[in-house]
Amino acid sequence: MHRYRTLLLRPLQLLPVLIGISIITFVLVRSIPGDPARVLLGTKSTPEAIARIRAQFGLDEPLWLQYLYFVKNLLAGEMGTSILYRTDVLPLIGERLGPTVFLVLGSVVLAIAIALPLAALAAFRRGGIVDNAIRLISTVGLGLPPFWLGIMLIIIFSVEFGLFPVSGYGDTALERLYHMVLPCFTVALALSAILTRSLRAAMLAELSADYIVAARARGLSESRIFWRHVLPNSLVPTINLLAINIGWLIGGSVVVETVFSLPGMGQLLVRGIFTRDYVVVQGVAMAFACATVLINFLADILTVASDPRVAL
Amino acid sequence: MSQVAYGSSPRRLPALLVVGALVIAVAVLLALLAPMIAPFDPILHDTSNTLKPPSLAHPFGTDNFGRDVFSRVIWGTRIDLQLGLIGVIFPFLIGTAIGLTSGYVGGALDSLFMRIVDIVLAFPFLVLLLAIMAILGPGIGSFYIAMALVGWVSYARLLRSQTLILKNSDFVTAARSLGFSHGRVMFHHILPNALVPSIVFAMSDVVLVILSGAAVSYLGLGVQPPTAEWGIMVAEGQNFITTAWWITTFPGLAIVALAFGFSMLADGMGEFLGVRE
Amino acid sequence: MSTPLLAVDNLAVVTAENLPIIEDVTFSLGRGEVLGLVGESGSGKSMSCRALMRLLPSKSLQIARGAVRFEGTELLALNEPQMRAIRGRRMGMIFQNPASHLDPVMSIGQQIAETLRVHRNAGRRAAWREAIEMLRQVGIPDPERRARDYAHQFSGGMRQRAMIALVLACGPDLIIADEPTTALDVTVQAQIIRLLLDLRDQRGVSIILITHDLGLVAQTCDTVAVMYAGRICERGAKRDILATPLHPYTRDLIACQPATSRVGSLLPSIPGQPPLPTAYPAGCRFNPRCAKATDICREISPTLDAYRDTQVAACHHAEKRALNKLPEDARTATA
Repeated sequence: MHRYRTLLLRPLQLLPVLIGISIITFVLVRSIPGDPARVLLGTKSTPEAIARIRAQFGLDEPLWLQYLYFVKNLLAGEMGTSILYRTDVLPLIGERLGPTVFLVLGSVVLAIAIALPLAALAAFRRGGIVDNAIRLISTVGLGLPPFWLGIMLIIIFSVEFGLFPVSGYGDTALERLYHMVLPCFTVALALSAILTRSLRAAMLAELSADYIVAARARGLSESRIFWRHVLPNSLVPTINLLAINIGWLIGGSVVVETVFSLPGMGQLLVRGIFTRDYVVVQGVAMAFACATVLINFLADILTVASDPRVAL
Repeated sequence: MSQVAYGSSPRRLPALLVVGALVIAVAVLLALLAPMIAPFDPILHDTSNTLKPPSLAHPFGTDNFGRDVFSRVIWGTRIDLQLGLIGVIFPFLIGTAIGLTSGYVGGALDSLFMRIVDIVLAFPFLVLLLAIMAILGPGIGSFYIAMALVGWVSYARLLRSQTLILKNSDFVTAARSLGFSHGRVMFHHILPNALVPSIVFAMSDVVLVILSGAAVSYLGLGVQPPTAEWGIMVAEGQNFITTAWWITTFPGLAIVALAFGFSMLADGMGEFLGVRE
Repeated sequence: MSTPLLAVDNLAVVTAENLPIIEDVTFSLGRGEVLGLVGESGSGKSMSCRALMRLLPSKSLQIARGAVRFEGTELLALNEPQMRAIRGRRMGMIFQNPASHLDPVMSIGQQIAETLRVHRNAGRRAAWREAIEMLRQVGIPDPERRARDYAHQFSGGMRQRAMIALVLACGPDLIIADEPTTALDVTVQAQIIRLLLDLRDQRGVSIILITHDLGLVAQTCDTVAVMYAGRICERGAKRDILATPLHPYTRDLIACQPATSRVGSLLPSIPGQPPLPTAYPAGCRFNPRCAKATDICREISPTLDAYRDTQVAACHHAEKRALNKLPEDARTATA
């Protein structure tokens, strides 16, 4: 338990990062040329609304004071009102959270399900045809643009074979599962390319490790060695890897949401950019950043849980 | 005097390197010779020839404006290759400079820079890119600026960790003891050795940059129509997947091919120079 | 003489390109006997033992010929599952660096319990209890608590004890100890060796001790086999080998031990390096470094011939040395 001790103090260490995130987001939006009030409210806004927002965000004050207003509002859950949707940004993000979380989680699970057996196969048959084929396929996979891959999958499975819906999220849980197959697969395929390569490398490193030789010298079967020794030891680098790639994963999901018209945070972001709905852009960017920080924190916890040598 | 700190190179060039280099070479040739090779003008509309499937005259078919997809793909090579290379150069230069200085000088400066790195890394790459481009407005120039502002981070970290390792190595201590200035040690001794992993990384980073550039253009924020760029072409083609699958398929394949070439090159270089991932 | 526990006969291992890694390796071991396998790095001592366990480090290496009889069974004729039943159960191996040879993410107790469950079909709780008992028997204090610890939480000596417990769990008749004390503190070395010898005394375990330390050999072994460049160059009872070595390499090794030098004089060493399998010299493999080499040494490879009771040596001039029985000046090396 003492290994988790420092980890529990981690949130304090994350505070500067979170502050930094808020600063960057604040600076980003304030760098938009033009009157900040108009920028935030859009071109069609009443003088009363403008006056109100000036007061709420302190837009007449010096910049650093504006930042404090911003933080104050943030902590109160006030991120501004969306021009397009005419609701507050925070509840808007809350609504859109579902599809994005579904997409990200689903892709991770699917990617691991694909990458694990492939990496194991490649590691065991090192140097052989299977290994080289898997390496080749995963290298190709790295270069598959998610937006194009999604469309290809739609062409093949939706248009040609009519197996899956072309777009949308569905209403019931079952429908959603059905709608999310292709999107999750799209992101998962590209992610599994990365995962396969690294898992394979991690497994190869473990397979030639001394303790595996010692395990063989004890007469343990190859299958037991793989499941009870190689796999747990390959887990830690995998968790790290997933954490590192989470940013990429989220980026991919933004694009995939657009391809499949999923009502998630990514689509919110893109629409916000096109409609100059800057409060939305600001809110979503911050939400994504905080989510990334949180996920990395979780990854650290998982790392401590799976490797007894680590005490963070 | 600076010694190479990496494993001895095998005498044979790895196959990966050769294949990768070949693909890139073909791409560069296509890009340079586009005006001569492309059978049709990539931008001119031809309303009598719209949505024609692949044929001998139009190997990749035509799009909804009657433009030859094959020619557009060839012309697109220029843009996407450019996206990849320029989109890497600026982050590479900025990140290397920051990483080298940060690692060498250490102390408060180092902590500050690494804090900034942590914060930038907290944002998902594409999200930050999009947010910056939202402010700068769409266009290829915004893309390069946004890449420079966001992409330097990986290079800074890489260079910094290499610098930290090399800072305490024997040949650097020897150089300092011979009275060489900090600047000289940094640039003539540490940098050449520290660069190797960065260069290998840069090759694979090009893949990421090309994909990002294409994605941003797909979304409509990057390269603008009617320029022939593979990302935009995929986006335009998405509206016709039931009637004209070729419009969106072939540009995507081109992206895959170019990315594949750079990946192979990166892997091959890594193998050749003895750098491990 | 009763049937030896282990009889290795003409064992040879080659690479994929047919380069000999070890050749004509012949030795035997009785119950409760300690055989010292001595030589420089790369001489083939570890490789021979891995070969007899059929645990060659790479797929490109193969056992070319030979026989390994262990407790009446011809090991080279067994298939992999049969071999697995013997490894860990009837014979075990402990390694030089216990830190890297223990699974870092599995507790020590679990690793021991694992072998018990695999080889003896023990139930989970019974296996755990016995694992604790094993730790106690190798001298690890507070075994109930330590069984839950991980490798990195043990000190060097304790780790080696844990490794021995792991190997001992199923009660093997043969333990191969590959440089078990090289990576340990001098004080701890003695403890580990004491532990191994106790095992020999109390359980009748036979031990092959791989080492380059002749002092250790002098203390612990019954028989000694000296290896050079993949071949055994001399073999016999410890007393004979150390007192009257017949092979120049053995004599040089003895001379290089700090204990045999005079205080104040330079420590002698054997000039040159052992040859690689790609460049074995013609004739006797030791000839380039041998001060007593003659023409025949450079042309014909000597065979392992018997000169006294159980002492055999592979040297063209061994006979003369054996007959002379003179303690020759062993300083053939630069001093």
